[in-house]
Amino acid sequence: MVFSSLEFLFAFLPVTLGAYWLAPRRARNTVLLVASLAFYTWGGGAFVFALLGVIAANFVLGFAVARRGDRSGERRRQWGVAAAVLVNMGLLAYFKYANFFVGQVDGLRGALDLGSTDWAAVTLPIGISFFTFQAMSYTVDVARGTRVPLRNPIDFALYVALFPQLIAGPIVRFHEISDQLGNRRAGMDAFAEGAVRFTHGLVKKIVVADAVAVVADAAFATPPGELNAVTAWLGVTAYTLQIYFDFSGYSDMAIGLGRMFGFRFPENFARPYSAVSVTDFWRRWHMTLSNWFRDYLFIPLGGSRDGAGRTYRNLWIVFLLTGLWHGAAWTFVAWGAYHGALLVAERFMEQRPTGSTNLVPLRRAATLLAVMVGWVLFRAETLTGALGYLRAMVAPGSLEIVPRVAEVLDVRVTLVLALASLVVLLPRHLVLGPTLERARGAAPAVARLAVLGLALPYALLLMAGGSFSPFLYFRF
Amino acid sequence: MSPTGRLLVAVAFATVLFVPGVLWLTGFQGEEIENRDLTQAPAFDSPADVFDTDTYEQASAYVVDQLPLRSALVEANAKLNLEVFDESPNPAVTLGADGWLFLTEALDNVCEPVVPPDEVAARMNRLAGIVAGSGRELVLTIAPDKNAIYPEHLGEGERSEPGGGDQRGEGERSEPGGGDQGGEGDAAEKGACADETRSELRERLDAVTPPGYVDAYAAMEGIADAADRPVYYPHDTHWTTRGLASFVEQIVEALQPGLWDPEALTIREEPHTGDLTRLLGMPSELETQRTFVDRPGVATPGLEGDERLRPPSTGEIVTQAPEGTPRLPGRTLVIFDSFFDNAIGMLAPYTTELTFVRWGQFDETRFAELVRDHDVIVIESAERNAYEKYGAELGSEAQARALLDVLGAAGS
Repeated sequence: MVFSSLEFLFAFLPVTLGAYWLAPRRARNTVLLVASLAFYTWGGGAFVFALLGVIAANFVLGFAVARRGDRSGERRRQWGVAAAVLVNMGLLAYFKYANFFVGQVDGLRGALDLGSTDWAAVTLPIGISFFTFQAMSYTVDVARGTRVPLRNPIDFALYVALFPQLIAGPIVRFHEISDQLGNRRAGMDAFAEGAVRFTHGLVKKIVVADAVAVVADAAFATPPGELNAVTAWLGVTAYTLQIYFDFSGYSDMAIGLGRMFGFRFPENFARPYSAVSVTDFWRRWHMTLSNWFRDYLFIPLGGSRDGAGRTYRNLWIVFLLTGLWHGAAWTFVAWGAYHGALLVAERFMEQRPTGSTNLVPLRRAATLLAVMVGWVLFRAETLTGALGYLRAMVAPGSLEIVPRVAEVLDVRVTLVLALASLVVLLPRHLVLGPTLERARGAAPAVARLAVLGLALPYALLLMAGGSFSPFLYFRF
Repeated sequence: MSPTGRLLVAVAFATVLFVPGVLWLTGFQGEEIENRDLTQAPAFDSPADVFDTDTYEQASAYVVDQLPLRSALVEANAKLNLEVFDESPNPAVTLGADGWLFLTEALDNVCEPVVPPDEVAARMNRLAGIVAGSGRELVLTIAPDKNAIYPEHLGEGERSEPGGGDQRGEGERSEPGGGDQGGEGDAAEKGACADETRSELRERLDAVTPPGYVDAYAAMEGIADAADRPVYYPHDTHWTTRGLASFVEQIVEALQPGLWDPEALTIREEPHTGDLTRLLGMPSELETQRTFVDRPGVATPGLEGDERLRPPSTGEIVTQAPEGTPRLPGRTLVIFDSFFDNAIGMLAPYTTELTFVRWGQFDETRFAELVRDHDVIVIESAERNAYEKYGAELGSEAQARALLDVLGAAGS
């Protein structure tokens, strides 16, 4: 069940909100936990037991790694953290990467005429990349002593399983939310702020991302031999917009939902396509993932403390793993390596964001171009497909959009694509989500009115229209 | 946000969230708008169902189906697409000129047939040869899709040539590349391409002339030219009952000249919801003239009331008629699809015994047995399915073998 579905909006959410508001304050976390587990089971079925296993293991390990001031503590903490890594990352590795690994082994065996491995493909539990990372964050934060372990299993389970961020983030590090688990206010003010933020995200997803997705899908489904530069650029532009509006829209919805229940989740996007460097891009794109990797991988690896060479190595490792985190395929590894290389190059040239404004438009354009090239690696099904697509982007050829793509470019899609493209021109510091959520003044009020009064009804029409799938002849 | 702003936002959003649920609880429930039964609530028959994602897929479908006001939202979205963006809300429906609607599949299936036209003609000829060769009366026909008869209503995008309708009957309504003349982009090519395939099939059928083949294209073109109103519904994939009656007349006359009684036709005004408007999500009901065959004293038990317009998938009728009423002798079999729904009720009074079987209700052996057990065979397929039905199903090698086996065994 996704947030942009009719069943979520008109059944799950009202029922959960109603139960939450009617429950006594001390029972509210229990209500939210039950709702969260139901939400997970709705989409993940029996994989809810994997989620419960992660919760149980990390809850216990939290006590094992907690600082108690005894001399044997360090060794216990190390073992505890190692066990948490084994449980969380082992589970993630098995479910997410086992098929990929077996595929590579089979490729080798095939090359050596050794046949294939007898292997039943593993199904990926939804949200596992997110809930294992959150659970890991808890154990490490407790081991570092920045937070004490939670004594209430309901509160801990809620931290890991809280439905607004369970499936697709933001990845909330434990120290960012621990204080809110037992003490938060969820009144009308929070509901109103959350409603605006949620609606903003819903509109981004339904009105923009879903519209431009058809262009990206058609372009990337075109065989490289038929693709020309105009179509390839149109496709990657559409995908650049799709992935931003889709993912940031989902994050807005998650943040808005969290707000309705009194939580303040960290921001996940801050106008990434206005970045002036790739380093800046990663401070604005999927910020909660970048923060997680920084806190729990880059810094433990040594960060930038041990000289340039080690820093470059650490950056590369982090971005290779960031790529792999997004999916078990060489395209994601290549995407991570590509971004790692760009970051290393920027460090090498000390090309960091400066206050200088005269080159800002040029730097923004160059960064966007680099990011768009990266999206080709990210979106393509295979590395060969990605290379074919990249070749088409630079090959001279016809200026006509290929029929497969032209077919989906109707008036609405063209209009949305054109308007959404303007996002790259917006000021770097104007982040609409939080502005809409909280800002006072006439302009934010008008924007809120537009979102709630015009864009939301239109999004609902599109959702209803999307659910409509009639048969020509009656089906019993 | 100001306190007043917060209050307004909270009330507005809560209204959006809660009103459908409240309406549902007070009895406003979902309507069947998609030509299928509404999804049932999941049963949770066993504990395992709680952890089965299929259960929740069903639950999601149930919630969506039950959502009050959904039909209104769907219709509003369709109108917005149609009236603001001038685009079809459902790609399954192609917008034509003058408010006419067309089934996209009807263009696509003919444009890219599963079996090439020359092969279809050859296989129809083989099928007809076996059936007619067994001594049975046979009618084999293809019901033209409406873009074949009314290309002028296809609109700029789909027309292969401006004014293509003027050339009706010549069997050559399009030329390769005709899209350059009247259309634009892929849709124009599709229209031209469908015309091209159709022309080729008609030419091949003219050349091989399968026994019992009735050229419904020529028949419907003639009927359309003579009619004072369209013989296809603008908002439906099918021909009108008036157009159909004229075609059924030709079939009956082909089987037994002089049998058709024009006086038996009765016309009634009845509402009709176009299936294409339903596909768009904005069903519209039109008062239309329905044509029925009411022969004096003839009754068709088992095919009365609404069943004369929408017969079940299979049925057998023993017609009751006064002594001496002329009828087709013996047993008549009709293989049909939705284009012939109304035809069953029109044909039945002219038969002694009628068996009707919808496509998809038989396999090779069953079809052969049905043919064996009947004296008059009428086979109809809509144009959009004809390439598959005649080319791949009834025209298949396996079907030919089954027919030869069964008809041979029956001593026919």
